[in-house]
Amino acid sequence: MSSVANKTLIQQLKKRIADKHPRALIRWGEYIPFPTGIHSLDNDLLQGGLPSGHLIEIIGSKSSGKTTLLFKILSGLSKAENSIAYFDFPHTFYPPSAQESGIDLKNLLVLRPKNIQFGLRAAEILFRNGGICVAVFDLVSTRDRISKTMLLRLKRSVKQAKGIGIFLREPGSTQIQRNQIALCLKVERLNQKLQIKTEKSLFGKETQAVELVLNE
Amino acid sequence: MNRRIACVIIPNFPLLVQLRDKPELYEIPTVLAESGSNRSKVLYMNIQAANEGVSFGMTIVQAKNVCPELCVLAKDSKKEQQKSDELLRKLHSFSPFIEEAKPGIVYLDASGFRRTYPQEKDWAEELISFVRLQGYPVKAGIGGNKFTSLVGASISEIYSYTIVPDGKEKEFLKPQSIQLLPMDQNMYEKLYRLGIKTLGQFAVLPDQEVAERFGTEGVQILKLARGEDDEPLKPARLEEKESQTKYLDSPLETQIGIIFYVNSILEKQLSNLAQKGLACDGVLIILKTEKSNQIPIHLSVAQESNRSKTFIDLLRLELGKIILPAPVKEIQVDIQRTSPLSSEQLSLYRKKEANILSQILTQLKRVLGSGNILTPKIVSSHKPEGRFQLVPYQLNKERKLKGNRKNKKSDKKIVTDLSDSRFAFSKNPICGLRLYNPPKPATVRTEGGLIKFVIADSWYGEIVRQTGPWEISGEWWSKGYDRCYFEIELSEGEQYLIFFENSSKQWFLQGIFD
Repeated sequence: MSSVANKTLIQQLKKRIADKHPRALIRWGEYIPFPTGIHSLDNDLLQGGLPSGHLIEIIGSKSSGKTTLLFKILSGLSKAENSIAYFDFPHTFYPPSAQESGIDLKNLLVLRPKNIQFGLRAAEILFRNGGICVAVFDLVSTRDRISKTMLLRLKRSVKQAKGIGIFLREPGSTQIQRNQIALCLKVERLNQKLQIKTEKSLFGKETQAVELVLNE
Repeated sequence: MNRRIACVIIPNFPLLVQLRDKPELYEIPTVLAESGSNRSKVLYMNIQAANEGVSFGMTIVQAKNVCPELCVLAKDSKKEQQKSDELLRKLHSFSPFIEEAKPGIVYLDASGFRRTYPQEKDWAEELISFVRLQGYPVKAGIGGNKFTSLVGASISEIYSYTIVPDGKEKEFLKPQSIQLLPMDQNMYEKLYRLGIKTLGQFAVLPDQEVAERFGTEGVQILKLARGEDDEPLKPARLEEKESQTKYLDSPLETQIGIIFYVNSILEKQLSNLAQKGLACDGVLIILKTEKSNQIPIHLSVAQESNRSKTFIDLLRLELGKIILPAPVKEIQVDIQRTSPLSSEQLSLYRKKEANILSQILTQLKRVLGSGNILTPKIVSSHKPEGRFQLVPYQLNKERKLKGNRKNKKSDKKIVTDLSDSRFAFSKNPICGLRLYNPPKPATVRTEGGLIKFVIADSWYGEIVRQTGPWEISGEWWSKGYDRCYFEIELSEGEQYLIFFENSSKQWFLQGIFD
């Protein structure tokens, strides 16, 4: 067969496999985006969605709208039938608020570990065994330190499982080593709008920003 | 071939179960009562007590007045059921289909014995001598339906049987007493006053008049008297329980050694079950150490299995969190719950997934503790902290779902549609609420009916904007609440939900909008 015919055949095969098993075609450095369902976020800020196989951080001060944004993102992910583990360290998770945002509670597991190290270990077990696609670590108002070893192990298990690890924090709470994070979104509230900036991104231009109208 | 049903009656079975452990009471007037108290009634008695004038339904006090040297035993339902189960297991060698009407009365399917016994009476004699060998007095009856066989057994002498041929049920039942019918005392007295003393006299009564006088119960009993009992046999499935103990020549300290021995015991037990078409989903392993400690390890899988590897993987995880106080000298493995093996072809994938999930859960419980793996459920309530429950996550076992039909009423409380219960206090665009459960006490300063300053949870702030109040109250039948909610915004932009509890006259911080 000629090389052109080979290339055409390979493209056709890739397209067929991509329809049914998108993650089967992933290569080192590439990723499958997890669409969040928020149009301006997916198209303008992220390249199609949240990058799979990486750790993401969402940071904002009190009442900045970061939890609202997180719930909206999780709503988009749960609608795509992704199973979610929510590590509720501050014990402030409010399910009715989550359900109002559109999260399917049947796909949600809530875990309340005694400390962050146990939480990271549990997340590693879940990713390694294929139990979840998304793990959310709610670190608002926690002060514990995260060991570099545990974070590296989590990052490895997230990468192997092609899932997403999301850390939600506010300034002054538990710090995450920046070099382990692939994407950092900073959230600010401007009257009735949320401004989301990328403080760090391995997947596009940094210091981009979008504005979301709340209750869209 | 018409069906044939045998009935075996062991008279005073509950009393006999107690007397087996106390043979010295066989010759003494003895009764079995509901409980040990003096007001409890006599349920069963032996011949000696009956000869002394004790009768059924007497209280203990009355019975002791009649017979001062009477010995009273309290009913032990657990022991009765255990002995009954043992007997049923042994009777399975006579018939694969057995129904226990109550302890001491058992129905067996008497069809299909002809390959082993030339005649029905040979089978009946074998049955009687078998039960006699177990140490029980017994009488039996064989007929075309349950009621006929029950009457046949009731009228027989001890260690004898009555066989009612096919098609002769009506003739057989005609001269029998109406006391053999399962009816209450009231109905019996009415029939007696009408001059009806035999089943034959009752059977000729018209259906409509019996229905008018005695209701549907009377019509059902009429059918029994006519020999038209069509109630099928409801065979019980006995759970096979296997237990094996291994005494070790040299005590074990290592996990590998323990796993090796458990695997060898479990493989044999599971292959026995597999031969009977059974599998198990629960195993109890007890490790006995040199210092007489007993360490129980419960292994449970989502889907029944007869592969030892499934249980050994779970055992490995459980052993990882145990520190042995001393070397193990004895290992006991009990198969706890058995059920028929489900079809491999129909459920292979699901079975594998369910067992992987149970392994994941075991690992998670080891790290987090079993009470910290939760699933949220929305509940109907006005109180914010009452609107949800975080319940421990459980694997959805099909058998458990079938068994929980009684709990359907409580499930009605769980709300899936939030249109009536949404947090509609305000149109706050930031809908992500973080709830403090329980609410935190707060100190509030008001001026002119407006909230000016709030101190709570190691922060304080001046209020620049507030909305509310919204009043809610309820649960007056228990602790009750009567609250007045406000949404406040501080000068630095933080938005909180606070409330004033009218009953305790205190302010609380309910949550923060984020």
